[in-house]
Parts: sequence; C-alpha cells; structure tokens
Amino acid sequence: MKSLNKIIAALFLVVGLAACEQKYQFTESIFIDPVIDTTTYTYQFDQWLDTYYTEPYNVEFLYKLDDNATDPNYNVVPVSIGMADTLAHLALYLWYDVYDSVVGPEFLPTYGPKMIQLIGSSMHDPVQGTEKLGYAEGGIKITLLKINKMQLNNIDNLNEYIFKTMHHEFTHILHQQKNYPTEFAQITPANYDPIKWQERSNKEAWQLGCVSNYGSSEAREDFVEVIANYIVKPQAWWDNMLKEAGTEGAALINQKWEICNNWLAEKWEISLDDLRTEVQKRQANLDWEMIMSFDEMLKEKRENAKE
Amino acid sequence: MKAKYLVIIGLLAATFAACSRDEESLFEKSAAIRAQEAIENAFDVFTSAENGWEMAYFPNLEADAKGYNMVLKFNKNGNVSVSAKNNSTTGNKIQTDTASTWAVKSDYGPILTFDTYNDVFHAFSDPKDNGAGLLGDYEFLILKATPELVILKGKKHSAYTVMRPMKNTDLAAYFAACEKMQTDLFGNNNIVTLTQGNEKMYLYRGADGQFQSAAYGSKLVAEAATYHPVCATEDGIIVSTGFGEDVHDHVFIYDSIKGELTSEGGAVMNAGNLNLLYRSYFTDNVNGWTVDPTAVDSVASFLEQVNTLVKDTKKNTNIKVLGYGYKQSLNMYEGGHFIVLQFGYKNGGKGKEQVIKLIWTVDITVDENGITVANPTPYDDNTNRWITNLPVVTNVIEALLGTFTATPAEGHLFNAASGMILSGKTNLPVMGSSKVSM
Repeated sequence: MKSLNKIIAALFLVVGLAACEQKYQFTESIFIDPVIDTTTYTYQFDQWLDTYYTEPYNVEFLYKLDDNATDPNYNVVPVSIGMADTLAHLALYLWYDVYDSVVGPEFLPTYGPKMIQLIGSSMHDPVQGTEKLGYAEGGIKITLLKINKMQLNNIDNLNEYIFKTMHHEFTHILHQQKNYPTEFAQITPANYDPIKWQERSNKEAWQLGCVSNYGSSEAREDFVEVIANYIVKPQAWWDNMLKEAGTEGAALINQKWEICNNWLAEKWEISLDDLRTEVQKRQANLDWEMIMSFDEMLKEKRENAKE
Repeated sequence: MKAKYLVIIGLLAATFAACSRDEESLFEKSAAIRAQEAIENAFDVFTSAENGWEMAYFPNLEADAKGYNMVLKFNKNGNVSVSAKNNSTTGNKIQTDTASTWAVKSDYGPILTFDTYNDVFHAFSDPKDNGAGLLGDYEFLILKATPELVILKGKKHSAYTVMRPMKNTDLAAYFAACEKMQTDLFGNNNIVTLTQGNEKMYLYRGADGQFQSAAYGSKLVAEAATYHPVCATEDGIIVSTGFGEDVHDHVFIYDSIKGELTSEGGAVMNAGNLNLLYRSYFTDNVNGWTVDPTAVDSVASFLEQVNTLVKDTKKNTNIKVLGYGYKQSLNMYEGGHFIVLQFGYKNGGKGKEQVIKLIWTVDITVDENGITVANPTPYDDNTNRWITNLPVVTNVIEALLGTFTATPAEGHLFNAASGMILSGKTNLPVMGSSKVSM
C-alpha cells in the first residue's frame, strides 16, 4: 500500500511536471543564406573579392561601412566603391602577392588578418592634433583609413599613407600572434611618450633612437615602425635617417633593427631584406594599368601552379 | 502517516501551481521576425517612390546649423543616387552622384545606412581636416517609414531628417522652387506666430534664414532665443525639431493666400492676416512707408491733395505755416495697420513749431495681385476734429490707398494704378520745401 501510494504520488508529480512543458514553437528563420546576391549593384566587385581575397586568403574584405565597427569617438565616412576597388587591387600587388612570393602561399591564409576593413576618412583627434591612418585588432582585423584621399600619382603620399600603413598594421597582426622580444622595449624605454609624441619631429625621434615620431610613442608602435619603414622606404631614406640620428641615435635604431630582423627570421622564417627587395621592386613599378589588371596575372599564375 | 499525505498533497499543489502559464504574449510574432518585417517594410517604402525622395537633411543641431535639400533615388539593387544644390557643399550647382550603396539593416531598430561614399551625401558627414566637418550622419534610425513620410534620426549626432516622395523628376525645377520658398519666407526679417493647443510663440529669422523662437509677446532678443534649423521645400518648410512642448510635427505646408504654414497635426505658423512674403517685407521696416518724393509720378497725385490741404488750412484755420513734408507713413504692426500723417505747424510767424499727428486705421488684404490698403477709419478724436475742420485731409489719405506690389530689392511698394511709390527708406529728402509760408 505504501509503495502504491508512492507510485501514485510519483505519477502525479510526473504528470504535473509534464504539464509544465512549454509548447514553444520556433518561428521562421530570420537568417538569410550568405551566398552573394547576383542582383545587387556591387555583385561584380563582391564576387571579385570572394575570388581574390576570401577564397584564397581566408579574409573578409569589408568596404561597406558599419558604423558600429568604428570608434564612436571619431567622425568617419565610408570608402567609395571606386577607391575600395583600387585599394583591393593595390593590396594584392604590394602586400598579398609579396608574401605569397617571398614567404609562401600558405603564410597569409594562416597568419594573415581575417578581416580587412576600409574607411574613407582618417580618424582625426583635434585635441591631440593626431590622425589615425590604420589600426590592427586582436591579431585578426586590420582597418585602413583615409582611403578616399589616396593620391594615386603621388608616390610619397602613397608610401606614407597607404603602403607603410599596410605593413605597419600587418606587423601588428604578426606580433599579436607571436610576441616580439621583450628586450626591444628595454632599448629606449625612457624615450617613449604616448601623449606628446606628435610634438616631436621625425628628426628628433631619430635622435632618440626611433625611426619615426609615431614610433617614439610606445614600444609596440616603435617595433612595427622599424619594420614598416624598412620595407617601404628606399635605402637613401634609411641612410639619411641614420645619419641625421647621430651616432647614438643610429646605434639604437640599428640595435632595434637587429631584433626585428631576427624576430622575423626566427619566429616567422621571413627575410626582412627579401621582403624589402620585393616590395621596393614593385613600388618602383607603379603602373596603374598593370596593377588594376594584376588579378588576371594572378589567375594565370595560380592556374599554372595547379598544373 | 497523515502528515506524509499532507506533504505529498502540498507538493502536488505546489507543482501544479508552478505550471500556471496563463500569461499571453503581447505580440503575435517574435521580436526578431517583427524587426525583420520592419526592415522589409522600410526597404519597400524607400524603393517604391517612383520619382525618388526629397530629403530635408539636417547635419546637426548646432546654433549655426542649416537644413539642406537633397533628392535621393533608392534602387532595389542597393544602389542610390543623390543630388543636391547648395552653397556649402556643391558650389551652388546641382551635383549628382549615382555610384554608391544604401541598405536597411538591423541594429537597435531598423537603420538606414549609406555604407559606401557618395560625393554628394557624405559631404555633410566627412570629418574633413578638423575631425568634424559639418557633423552630419550617414546612419539613421528609421522612426517612421510610410509612402508619404519618412522620419529618420541621425545615429551619432541625433538630428532629425525628413523625406517625402518627389512630385516629379525635374531636379532643376525642384531646387529652384526650394530656393524661391527660402527667399519668400526668410528673405527679410520676419516674425511668425506659431500656434498649436496652448503653445504660442514667436518664430523669427535667425542666422542663415533659420528659425529662432522666443516667447509670445516677448521682445526679440537674439541671446535668449533657441535655434530651430529649417529647410525650405517647394511647398513649405521642414523643421528638424519640434517647438515647445506641443508642436512635434516636422512638415509645414505653405498656403500663399492665407499666409499660413500648417502642419499635419494642426500647428499653424501664422503671420496675422498678411501673406508671409509681404509681411516679412513690412514688419522689417519699423519706420513705416513714406511717399517717395524722388519719384515724380508718385508725388504728383499726393502733392495735388496736399496743396489743397495747405490752401484749405489757411482758409479754415488760424494756422499760418504748415510744413507738409514733415512725415506721412503707412505703418504695420502686429495687431493693426495704420496710416499716420504728421505735420509741423506754427500759429504765427515766430511761434515754436508743433506737430500734428493724424492717425487712421486701414484694412490690409493680400492676394496674388499684391497688398491692398483700404477703408481708412479715423483712429482718435483728434483726427476726427481735423477731418471736420478740413475735409480735404481725407483726400490726402485716399491718395495713399490702393493695391501695391512689393519690390523688396528696390525697397518699394508700388501702386500701378496711381503711380504712387511708398518707400521703406529712412533717408529720403523732405518732400517739396520743408515749410510752406502762406
């Protein structure tokens, strides 16, 4: 009897709890198949980006701006489709294919950024008097700024605002994955000034043992500035910098360069000089007709490689 | 044993009580589905306007902010065409950029975004070299999206932006009509009374033709005013923010005959019984309107009456010297319109000159032909006495009546029938000799 009572009680409990089961039905899905829509205005460009970036390099190339993905403290505008197209071609020629050629085709798909975001304007801080040209986040995302203002026939402008920024931010991505040696930060620790670096001229920064005034802001910026400047600036520029830096400044910069060079070689099996030679060879041949049809050459190159 | 059963019964009761689920959802569909439907609805609205949309764009709400006219055509493939004509960003020429994209996406509510650079549209949000530019937005919360009206709110700088479907596709005609409305309504200092419910306030011309508001009946002091950016359209005005606590509408349609701007919600911007165009012209001139002695046609009819007045004065009164060039004016104030005649006179050759001030109220009506001044009525006992003694005074006043067209550029009111020109200028030479001896 006792056990029967227990069974009845248990049954009631089960029935009672079963009655609690919520009859929840899922409504239709709001998610749309992420296949590129062939009817859109930007279909051709989107398809091109898929073919030349997403598929081979495992990277999403973001040119349509989502304001949530930007720093709300700054006013920015999107990049124009035309400039996004130009930059995408330029980056293939001067960045992606360089690493393919010098380091190997597996390098960028594995270690390269997973997202490249373009923004039309820079991020200007009127209080500090500074202008952000790019930034790298979490080892996976690079944002390139001021793309609408690219001066396609002004090599110095391109070098300073675009080429250097590409390599600068990419080096951030690399050291965010494999940290740079701690002794780098110990070379000129007292000379870093993250607040007032912009008040220094480049020459003053050189004499302090940094390759640029921005490099004199903090060690990690200094580290990537050494590599980026070495890659994109001609030898004459580098020599002049060392000369203007004076004996002491030049010695400090050379010491930093050694660390950078070794880090790339040991951690990444990359020859800084080979990278530089390849980039500068390509920079010297800034033929826009060729650059805008570089994808065709790449296609051929890849097909040949398959065969 | 009984205690055990009580426990079991208690447990059962608690179990079933926990099942009480009679709460009903307020919504038939999930939040995600409703959000998606709002996006689809907005997309359909934006792409359905056959001639595209006129946009009254307000970059921000700073004191010197302005409203700008743009015309947008949203295509279903995600392409958008934007045209504008203004002094700030297009050099006062019609500029169009058709090579950019738009989208409606979900954020905290449906968002309209212009996500690739458009030379015309993003000129207002481009931070330029100072990090700010004109502080415009390119992403907007969609607050309302109907085929007749779209209301957007800038995501970063919070200014409202309003869109209405274009009536046709003629861009040149559209921008010209907007400019005309701007000139008509804001070309001169203008005081408008805004009324809705208990709200009543003055609106007047602030910087760059924008509204400033002030308490009804107050003295208009610029420092105390609040700015309300306004954008003239082809059929009225669009304001970015509401007025006071009662007026929330953005769109005011202009009735040129009534001289009123009326919103959908019943707010009325009214300049009394004067057409705003004329009103702005009149009220700007606090000195009133004076017969222009430099215009021969103008003076002839008036002078004839005044000469008669002078003769009759000598005949009928003991006034020996009458300076008729002293002042006569047509004045228009809030609440009434007056003709004032002022004469300097002396009772004897050596006496001190005194001033006679005669006042008539007049009716003012406005239609497409112009402003008509009629029905002069003596305003006070003094004026009545003069009329009794010198009936010819009435003739002088009648020479000032009739229908006038306004010529703001010249500073004139012109009566085509009589040739009379009333001038708003204050530095006119005194008519005839300043004093006439009799």
